[in-house]
Amino acid sequence: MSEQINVTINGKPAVIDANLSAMQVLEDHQTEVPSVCYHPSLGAIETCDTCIVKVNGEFVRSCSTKLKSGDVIDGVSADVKEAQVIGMDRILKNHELYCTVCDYNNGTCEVHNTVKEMKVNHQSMPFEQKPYEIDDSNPFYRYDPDQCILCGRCVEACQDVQVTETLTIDWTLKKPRVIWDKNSKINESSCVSCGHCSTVCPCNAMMEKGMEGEAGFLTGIAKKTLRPMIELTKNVETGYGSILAISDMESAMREDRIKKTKTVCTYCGVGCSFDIWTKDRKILKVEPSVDAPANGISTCVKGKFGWDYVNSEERLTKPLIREGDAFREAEWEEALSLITSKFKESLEKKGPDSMAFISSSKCTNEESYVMQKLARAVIGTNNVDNCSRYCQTPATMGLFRTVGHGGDSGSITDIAKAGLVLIVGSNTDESHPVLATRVKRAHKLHGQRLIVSDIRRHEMADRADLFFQPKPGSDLVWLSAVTKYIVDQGWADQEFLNNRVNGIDEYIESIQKFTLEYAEEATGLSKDTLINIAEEIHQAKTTAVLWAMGVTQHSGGSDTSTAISNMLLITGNYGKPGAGSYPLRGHNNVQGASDFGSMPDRFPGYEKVADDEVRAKYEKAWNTKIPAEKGLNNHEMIDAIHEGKLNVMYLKGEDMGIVDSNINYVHEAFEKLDFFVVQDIFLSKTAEFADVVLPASPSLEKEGTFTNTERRVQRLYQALEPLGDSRPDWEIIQDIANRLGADWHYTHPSEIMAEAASLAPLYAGVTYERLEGYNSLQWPVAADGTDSPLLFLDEFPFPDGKARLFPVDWTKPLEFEKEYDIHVNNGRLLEHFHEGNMTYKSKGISSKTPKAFLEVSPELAAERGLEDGTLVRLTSPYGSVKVECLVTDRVKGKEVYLPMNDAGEGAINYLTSSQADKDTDTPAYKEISAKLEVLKAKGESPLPRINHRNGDPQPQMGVRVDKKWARKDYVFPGDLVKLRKEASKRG
Amino acid sequence: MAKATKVIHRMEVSPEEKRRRDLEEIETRLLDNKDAVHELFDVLEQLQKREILQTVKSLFAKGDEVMDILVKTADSKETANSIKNLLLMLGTLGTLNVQQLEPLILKVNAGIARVAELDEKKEQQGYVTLLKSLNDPEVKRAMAVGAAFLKGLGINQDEYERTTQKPEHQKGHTDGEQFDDIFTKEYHTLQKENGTSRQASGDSGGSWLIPAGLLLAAIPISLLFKKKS
Ligand code: SF4
Ligand code: SF4
Ligand code: SF4
Ligand code: FES
Repeated sequence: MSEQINVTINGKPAVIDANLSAMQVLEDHQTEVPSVCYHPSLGAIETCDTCIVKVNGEFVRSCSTKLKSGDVIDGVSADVKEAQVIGMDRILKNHELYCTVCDYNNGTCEVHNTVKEMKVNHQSMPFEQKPYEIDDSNPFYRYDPDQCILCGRCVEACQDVQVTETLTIDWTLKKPRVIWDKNSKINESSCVSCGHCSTVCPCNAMMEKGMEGEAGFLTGIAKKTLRPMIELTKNVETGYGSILAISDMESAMREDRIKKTKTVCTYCGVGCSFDIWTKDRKILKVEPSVDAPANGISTCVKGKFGWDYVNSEERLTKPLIREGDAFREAEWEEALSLITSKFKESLEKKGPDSMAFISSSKCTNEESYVMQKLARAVIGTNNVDNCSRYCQTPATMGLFRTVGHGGDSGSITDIAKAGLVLIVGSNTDESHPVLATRVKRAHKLHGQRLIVSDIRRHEMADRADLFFQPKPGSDLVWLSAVTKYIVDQGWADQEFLNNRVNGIDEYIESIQKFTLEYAEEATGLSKDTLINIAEEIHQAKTTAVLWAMGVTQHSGGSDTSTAISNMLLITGNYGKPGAGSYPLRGHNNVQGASDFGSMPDRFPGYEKVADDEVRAKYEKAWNTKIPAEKGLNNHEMIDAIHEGKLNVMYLKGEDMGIVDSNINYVHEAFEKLDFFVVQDIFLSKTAEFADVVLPASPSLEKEGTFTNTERRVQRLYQALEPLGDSRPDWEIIQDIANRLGADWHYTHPSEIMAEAASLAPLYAGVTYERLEGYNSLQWPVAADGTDSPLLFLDEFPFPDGKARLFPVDWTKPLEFEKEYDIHVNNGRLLEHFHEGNMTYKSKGISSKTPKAFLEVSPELAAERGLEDGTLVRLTSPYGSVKVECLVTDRVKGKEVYLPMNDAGEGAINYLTSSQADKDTDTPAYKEISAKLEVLKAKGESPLPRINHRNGDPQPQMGVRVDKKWARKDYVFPGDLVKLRKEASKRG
Repeated sequence: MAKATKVIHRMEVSPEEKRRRDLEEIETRLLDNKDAVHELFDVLEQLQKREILQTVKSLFAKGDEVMDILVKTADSKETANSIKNLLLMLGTLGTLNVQQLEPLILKVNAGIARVAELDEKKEQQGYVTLLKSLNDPEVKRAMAVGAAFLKGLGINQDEYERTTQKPEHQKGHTDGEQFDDIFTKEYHTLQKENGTSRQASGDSGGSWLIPAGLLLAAIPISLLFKKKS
C-alpha cells in the first residue's frame, strides 16, 4: 500500500494516496478537469492550460502538480473555470469546429468533447488560419496545420515514445507548427511512418489517410464543395452547441457502419494488438489503445499501415489443382477428395512416415494444434514441424538446458525496467520495432545502460553506451570470457548460486580456457572492452539480455544461447523484475507454433513424445495410437525426400522455398515429392511446386489466438469475411481430417483451445473468456487462470526447482575457401517482412522501399569501385544472387548486409548452405561467404530519396514547452485571471 | 516431378450459369426476408406518390454539380440571413410539431440512403438488385438510426447560445499588433492601466432546427455523390 496523505478537495477533507497529480485526485473525486494535452501514455505535456486549478490559492496546471500533505485543492470555483476557458479559447483559435464534415468526428475527438464538457459559450478569439499548406506527401498520414492545436502530443510520442526524433514544434515561428526534421516535407524526412503521431493526436490535425473522406457521411464530398459547406454550417449555426449536437448525431450514425475489431498484428513477435476500423472490406485505420498489453499506443509501420495485402488482387480465392505445368482453379470438393485419396494411397502403400506436415508461425495456436493432431492422431506420424526451426529453436534449446522454460523470462515492461540491456546479434530496431522503442525510451529518459554486440552498426548500436563488433560467430567466446572475469573478480551472485543453481563447480571449470587473452584472439575485441562489459554488468542493478538470429543462426547457435543464460545465472539475473533472457521471437506466432506441438519430438506445452505417460494421456484423449519415436524436423524432411523416404507433404502458410537455407537443394526436393499440398494466402514460391494449393484466410478473416515473444496469449477477432472461397486454416485441416476418418466437431477455435488446455499443463487455465478483448495471459497459466508475467520467481521448472549451469564449448563458424572473401550478413528491414509477400503489397511501403539492396562499406566500395546503384553478383559455393549496392557505414570492411526481403534474384537463401546448428538443425544462415563481381558499374540508388534512412532526425526532450512559455505573446492564464481580479477590485 | 509454375487457369463460369446462381441467391434472400420486402414496397410506393423518386433520379444525374450549387447558393450572406430570420420566426412561433414530421422524414431518409448505395454497385442493376439489397440488416438499422436522429432534434438546447463572435467584433484582433494573443495583450494592458472594465459580449440565439434539417437532408444526398467525387 502506498502512503496516504490528508488534503482538502473543493472544501471537503479527504485522504488520498501520496504521489498523485491534482488532476488524478480531482477526477477520483467526481470533479472533471479538462485536459486536452494530457495523455495517459505520454504524461503531462503542459501545453494546453485547460487543466488549471488552484492549489493552496495558486493557479497551477493540475496534470503536472503532485500533491503534498495539507494541500488545499480547488477545481470548481469561477476563477478556476475562467482560467481553463482561456486555455480552451486559445485552442479554438487554432482549430476550426466543422465537426459534422470532419473525418475525426467519431466520438473520440478530444477538442470536440472538451468544448462540449466545458460548455464553451463565448469565444474571445476567432479561429485563424495558419499560413501553411496541408502536407500530404507521406503515403500513410497527413498533417493539416490549420487544425493543429499545438498540444505537442505527436512530438512527445515521436521524441520520447517511438524515439525516432523526427518531430518538433518550432516555437520561434510567428505561427508555430509541427515540423519534420529541419522543416522538410513529411515524406522526405526521417519519419519511419510508425503512426504514433496520428494515434495520439487529439483531433484531425494528424490523421491516417485511410480515414480521409471515408469515415463520415458528409466527408467524402469534393473539396471545392467542402469549404463552402463548412462556411455555411458556421454561418447558419447559432453557436458551438448546435454544431456539436448535430455532429454528435452524425457521429452516432457512423458507429453503425464502421466496424471496430480487436486484432493482433500478424507480422513480428512483439504481438501488438489494436482495433482495426473497417467499412466493408476497406481498412480505414488501425487504432492502438492504452489497454493493449504488449504495445499500448505503439505500433510500427507494418502493424499500423501494412494491411493492403488482405485485399490484394493476388490473393488466392479458389483451390488450385496442378495439371502438367500449370494450375487450374477447382472447387473445394474436388481438391479435398484428391487430397484424401492421395493421402490414403500413401498411407496404405508406404506407411504414415512417408508423410510430413509443416505448420506455420503465421497461423493461430489453434491451427498449429490441429495440424499436429492431424499428423499424430489421424495419420500416425510425428513428422511435424514449424518454421521456428529457422530461427528460434536454438534459443529455446539454450533455455531448456539451463532454466527449463523456452521463452522470454519476463515481459516487455521488464526490458524497459532493466538497469542494463545487453543486445547480442539482434537488429532490434528493425526486427522488433515496438520492443526497441521501450529500450530507446528507457535509455533516453531513464538512464538505462545499453550495450550492443553486433557485426553491423544498426540504430541500437548507434545509441549504445558501449558498442563492439566481434568477429562473426564468436559471441560464445566473449560471453564466456566475460563470465569468467566476473567469477574471477568475485562478482558472481553467490547467494543466488547457492540457493537456486546446480552444477556450479563443473561449469566454472569449463570456462577456464576462456581467458581474456584467448577471447581477444578469437573475437578481435580488446581486453579493455571485455573488462568494460563485465563491469557494466556488475554495476547494473539488473541485466536483461536480448538476442536473436545473430546468435541463433550459427553452427553453435544453441551453445551461444546457453552461454548467455549461464552468464545470467552466474550474475543472479533471473527471477526478478527487470532481468532475464529475452530471445526475441521473429514471427507473430513463432512462440505459439512450437508451444502448440508442431514439433517432431514434443506435444503441446513441450511435453515429450517419448514420455510414455504423456503419450498415454494423448492416446486416451484422441482415442488412437501415437508412435513413440520422434519424427523428422524440417531439414531432415528435405533430406528424406532426397533419399526417397518421404513422398507426401502438407505445408501451410510457410514459404519454405524461400526462407529455408540452400534453397536450390530444397527446390529439388519439392520437385521429387509424389504429392505436395500447400496452403497459403498467396501463390508463394513454395506453392509453385505444389500439386494442390488451398486458399487460406489471413488473421483478419478469422478468430484464434497468437502467442507473442513474452509468452503472451492474445485473441484476435474476425474483422472481415474470408475473401472469395478462401477459408481459415483450422476449418480446412478439420475437413481433411474428417475425410480421412477422424470425427472432429470443432465449431469455433475456442473449442480447440479448450481441448489443448485440458491436455497441456502449460495452458491449463487458458480459456477464451479469460482472453476477452484486450485481456491476455502469459504462460504457464494455472488452472485457476493465474498467469506468469515473470518466470522463475520462486523456482525453476526442474524436479528440484534449481537452475542448471550447462557447460558449452565454441564451435568455430564455417570456413570458406580464400576466393570467397566477402562475409554476407542478413536480416530484416523495418518496413518489410521476410520475403515480403505481404509488405510489398502495400503501395506506400513499396514507394519508400521498393526493393532489397546490398549494404557495402565505404572501404569495400573504394576498393572495388562500388557506388549506390552498382549492380553486383554475389556467388557462394551454393548459388548466387544479383543485387544493387548501397554504400553505408552501417557495415565495415568486407562484411556486407543483404536484407532477406526479396523473393526474386536477390533472395539470400540462394547463397546459404545446408550447414546447421549442431544441436537443433537450425540453418546457419549467418555463416556465408561469397565472392563479389560487378555486373553494371552505374545505376540508380536502390534506396529512393524518400526513404527514412536519408532523413535528418532532430533529437530533443519532448516538445520543449518551456520555449512556448518564453514567447512574448504567452501569458499564463492564471496570471491573467489574478490580474483581472485585482483590477476589478480597484476599479 | 512437379516443376515450379505460376500459371493459373481461372475457372470460367458461363453467363447462363452465373445468371442461374444469382437468381437462386436472390430468391432465397427474398423468401428469407418476406416482411422486409413488403415494407420496402410500401416505402417505395409512398416515394412514388410524392414524386420523390423523380427528384432523386434527377439528383443522381447531376451529382456533384447539384451539391456544389446547392451549398454555394446557400452560402451567401442573403441565404444565411434568411435562414437565420426563419430560425427566429420559428423560434417565436414555436408551433412546429416534429413528431408529425417523423414518419415522412424517416422514410425519405431510409429510402434515399438505400437507393444511393445501390447506385454504387454498378455491376448490378434494376429491380432485382433493389430486392437483393433488402436482405441487408442495414435497411432495418437505417430506420432505427433515422428515428434516433429525429429524436435528437428534440433534445434540450437551452444551454447553448451563440458562441462565435459577430464579424464586427472580430476585427482588431488580427496582425499588426504587438501581441497576437488577446489574453496576453489584456494582461499587459491591465498591468499598465489597472482597472479597465471588461464585459463579456454574447447574444443568445434560438433554435437551430433549420441547420439541423439542412444537414439531415445533406447526409443522404451526399451519399449519392460520394463515389463520384
Ligand atoms: S516517426 Fe513519423 S509516424 Fe512515427 S511518430 Fe515520428 S513523425 Fe509520426
Ligand atoms: S498535430 Fe500534434 S501538436 Fe497538432 S494537434 Fe495533433 S498532436 Fe497536437
Ligand atoms: S510488426 Fe511487430 S512491432 Fe510492428 S506492429 Fe506488428 S507486432 Fe508491433
Ligand atoms: S492537460 Fe495540463 S496543461 Fe494540458
